[in-house]
Amino acid sequence: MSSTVNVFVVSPDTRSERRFDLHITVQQLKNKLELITGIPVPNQSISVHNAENDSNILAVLEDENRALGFYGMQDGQVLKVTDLNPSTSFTGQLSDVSQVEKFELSEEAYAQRRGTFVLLNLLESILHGMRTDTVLAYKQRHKIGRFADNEESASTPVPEVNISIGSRCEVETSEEGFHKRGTVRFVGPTKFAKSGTWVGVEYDEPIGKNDGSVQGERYFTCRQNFGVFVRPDRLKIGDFPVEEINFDDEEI
Amino acid sequence: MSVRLVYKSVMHVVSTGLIQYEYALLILGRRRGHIGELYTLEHGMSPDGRFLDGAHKPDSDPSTFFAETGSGKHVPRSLYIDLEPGVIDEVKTGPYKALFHPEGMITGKEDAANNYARGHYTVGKEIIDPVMDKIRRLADNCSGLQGFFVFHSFGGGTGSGLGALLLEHLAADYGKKSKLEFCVYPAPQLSSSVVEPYNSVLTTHATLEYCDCSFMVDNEAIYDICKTKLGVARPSFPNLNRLIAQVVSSITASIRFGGSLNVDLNEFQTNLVPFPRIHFPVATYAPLISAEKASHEQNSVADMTFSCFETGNQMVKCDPKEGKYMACALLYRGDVVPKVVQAAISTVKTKKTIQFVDWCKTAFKLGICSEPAATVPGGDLAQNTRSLCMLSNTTAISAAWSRLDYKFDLMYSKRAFVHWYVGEGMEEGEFSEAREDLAALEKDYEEVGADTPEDEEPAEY
Repeated sequence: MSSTVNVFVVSPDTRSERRFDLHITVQQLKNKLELITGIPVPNQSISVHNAENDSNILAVLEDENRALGFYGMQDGQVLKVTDLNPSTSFTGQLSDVSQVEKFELSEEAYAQRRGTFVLLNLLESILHGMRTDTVLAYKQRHKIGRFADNEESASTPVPEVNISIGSRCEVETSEEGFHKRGTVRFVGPTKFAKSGTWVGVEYDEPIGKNDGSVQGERYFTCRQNFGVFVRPDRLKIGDFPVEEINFDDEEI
Repeated sequence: MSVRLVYKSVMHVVSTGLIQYEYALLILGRRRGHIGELYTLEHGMSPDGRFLDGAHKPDSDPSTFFAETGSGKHVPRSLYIDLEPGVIDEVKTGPYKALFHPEGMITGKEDAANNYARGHYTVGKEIIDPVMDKIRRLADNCSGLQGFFVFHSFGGGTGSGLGALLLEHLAADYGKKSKLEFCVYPAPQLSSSVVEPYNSVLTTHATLEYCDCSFMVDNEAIYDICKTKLGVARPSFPNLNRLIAQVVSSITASIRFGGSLNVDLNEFQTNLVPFPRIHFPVATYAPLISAEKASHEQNSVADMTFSCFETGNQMVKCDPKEGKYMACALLYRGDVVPKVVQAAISTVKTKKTIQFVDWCKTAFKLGICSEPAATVPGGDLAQNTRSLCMLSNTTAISAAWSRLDYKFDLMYSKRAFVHWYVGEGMEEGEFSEAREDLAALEKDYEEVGADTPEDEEPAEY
């Protein structure tokens, strides 16, 4: 005769299939259940059911000194664990992720991550490159993807662009009556594109895409979403003053 | 646009015994194996590891996972490890007890209590030396050990903690051998334990560098398959494990049996893993039909191929339509001819919903193994003359990481249950270090899809 029982443990935050020794006491079971369900031992109330959606209670595990075997549990039955005092525990608080902001690695931090030499595999690391390299670092190290050597671009000279840093400009847009104006902050080749000249612009308003850095590489500095990079043919240089925002003209 | 058919001479090498493909199976924690059960059936053996009369299949190579003893008995080259004594005792008393060497099962005295830190540090430390000794003995008995298969879960304490510790030791002692993982990933809706997000993030961080390829399955996906496709009203571990075993068996079939288009596992792995960190292919299986329905289904090669691109047949809950494929390996078994497969694949390629990354337009790798999959008596899956297991590396799986990371953040912001880990001697810094590594992994998946061809350069950065 088997001395263990296979049951489903169901609690507000978890559901799992578990096996318990019938000789352990209810107290010992509760200690185990705390680590599974997150409900502190003093808060636990355990009832035995035939199936998950069966509200009929076969037994309540109350006497902490009794062995599990006393309650005549069978394989496939369900142990429902409820929290008698959720205000003192984490029960129910661990499912709504909208309470917190998800941690994301910034582009810069990601670009700086490199595989670390692990003493254990030092020789292998030297021979085969580092296995912990991020995909970005791996591409750069092995010169693949957009970091591949492009022979064509190396042979064709970068065309001269006559735009000076600090000049006012307007970036072309398809929206009528809307002017995307700003100041030129950067002119030259970049790491994010394989070839050609790019112009970095700091807009007067937060209508850009970055803060002067792209994919972890900084070209100039401005506030987040004020910076943008475009090809030279998409912008006009000239006397474009900062537009006053006139709220009187608009319906609010 | 041609399908890459690779006629390899691997099988000749295997059958002449010059290089044997020998793997060691290491099974941790609750994911007790029905794998041995299935392997023995497929190789025509009885539960005690002897060949049944006339059943020895001429082109099968049981030496891949079995070692032959002096008395003609085959013992699986496997090791069951659990920190808790109860589970493995069942294998010792079950119908396949005679198959497994009692020495091949290691149990501890106390369990890991769903705690990565216990499995990795306190309790794991005590068991790792005897485990590595046993592995050394298994390895010494192989003439050409190829690598290791480690089966473990991400959510539990033994699977996550001891699993990571074991992979670290394997990397140190057997650096050049391939290390493959089968991991049971937390289900999206219901956690099996409250600290599952912690354990999963910690173990992924710890093993990312040591493991060459991790095949993932999640309990919820398997559970749903059992319920909706196989008609099991209340699936429990044996149902789930048998289905997983079927997938494992298909993946390894190419190194155990012959076939018209046999591709060895290493080659699949090379195709499936474009960057060392992006090594988590999703497994999909077809046909998933119960025994009662089987007689009403046609199960053509085309049907199987199409259903492998449907989410309902996937072993991990994620939506490939949301991402891009980097590689697809199609492992057919049984009565399948290459010509029909090619026709099916050209149809698949015309579908708009199936998108590949730009640097890899048509990455289909095929394998055909002539030995059909066996089924376990009493199992839920119908016996079929042919089956297909697809392994695909898709960026869609990053949604699964993202989900898990977010749950981790919610718990860690409240410092919920952190003291259980610190109490076992783990430094709190390991939490944030692991979480950052996973954030980098999410970025890695973005970076994979980031290469755009030149004619489609974005207008702005």
